[in-house]
Amino acid sequence: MPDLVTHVAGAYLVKRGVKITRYAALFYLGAMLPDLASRPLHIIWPRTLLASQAFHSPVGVFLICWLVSLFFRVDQRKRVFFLLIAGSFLHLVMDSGQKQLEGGYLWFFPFSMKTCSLGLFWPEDSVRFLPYTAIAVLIVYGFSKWREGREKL
Amino acid sequence: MFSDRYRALKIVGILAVLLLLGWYAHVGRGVVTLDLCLSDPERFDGTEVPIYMEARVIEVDPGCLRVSQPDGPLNLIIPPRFSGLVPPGATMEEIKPGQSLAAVAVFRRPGYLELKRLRVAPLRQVKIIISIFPAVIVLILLIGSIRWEKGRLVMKEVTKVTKVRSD
Repeated sequence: MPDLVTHVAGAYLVKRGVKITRYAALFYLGAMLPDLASRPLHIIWPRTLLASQAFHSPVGVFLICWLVSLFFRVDQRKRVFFLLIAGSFLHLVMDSGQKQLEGGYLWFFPFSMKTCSLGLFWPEDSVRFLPYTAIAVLIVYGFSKWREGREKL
Repeated sequence: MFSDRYRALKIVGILAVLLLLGWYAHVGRGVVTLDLCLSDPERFDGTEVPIYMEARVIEVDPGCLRVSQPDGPLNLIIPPRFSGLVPPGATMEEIKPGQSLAAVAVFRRPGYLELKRLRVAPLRQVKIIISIFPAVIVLILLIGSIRWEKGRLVMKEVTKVTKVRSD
């Protein structure tokens, strides 16, 4: 996985592109959800590494988003669910590019235990690229503020 | 799917399915461990044993890499002319105690592991630490935009107020 700063930065760029204006915090939460549901478990209890991968799979993520949405008021549940799931799938797409020495993510779990990844970058490469990620976010932020200012005139 | 009908049942059901999925991911992958190989050395001779990212380097000797991992410390025999270091171009001299690593070893009779591929990730700890910040910021954002109302969470509606100049 890339680090969570990169995941949130990716979510910010997508949010700007598709113009998510309401409840954006849920989209950001979704962009971190697969890692929040799985990583703390196996960092604290390393023996749960294999079990925690279930919560980083599309089916696991779908269930977690559904579960979280059920705690919201009934008229907001659909929106909450779709923002969480959109953020989570963006997360999984970003993760799919990384290389693994052994194994990878369980995309088709629980129907198949096959792992796959595109093998474009190592998990820690995102840390080295953080300055460039920050520059990209600042450019998009600056451009959108400039455009908002022009529209107000 | 989103209605209040059978809500409690849906919550319990989803939690139960998630627990089952976790259990199935744990037992269903059939990952080969050193303990399994030691239980039948003849059968597992030549089998690949993965050593995942939660392992750390304890000591590097010319012929042996000592690592700590959830099941206890492990000695990985480094074969002569070892060429499985990832990324290509990395050298064994760069490996320092305390670094996170992922490795694939081959089990050999009567009971030792021979290193096949090795990747050391010195930035892994940095990645974990910097990942805490966005999680905290988003948590604060969420706390600010959610309120508790009649036993349910409610997202606050944000209305943009535009100033209109009167002159």
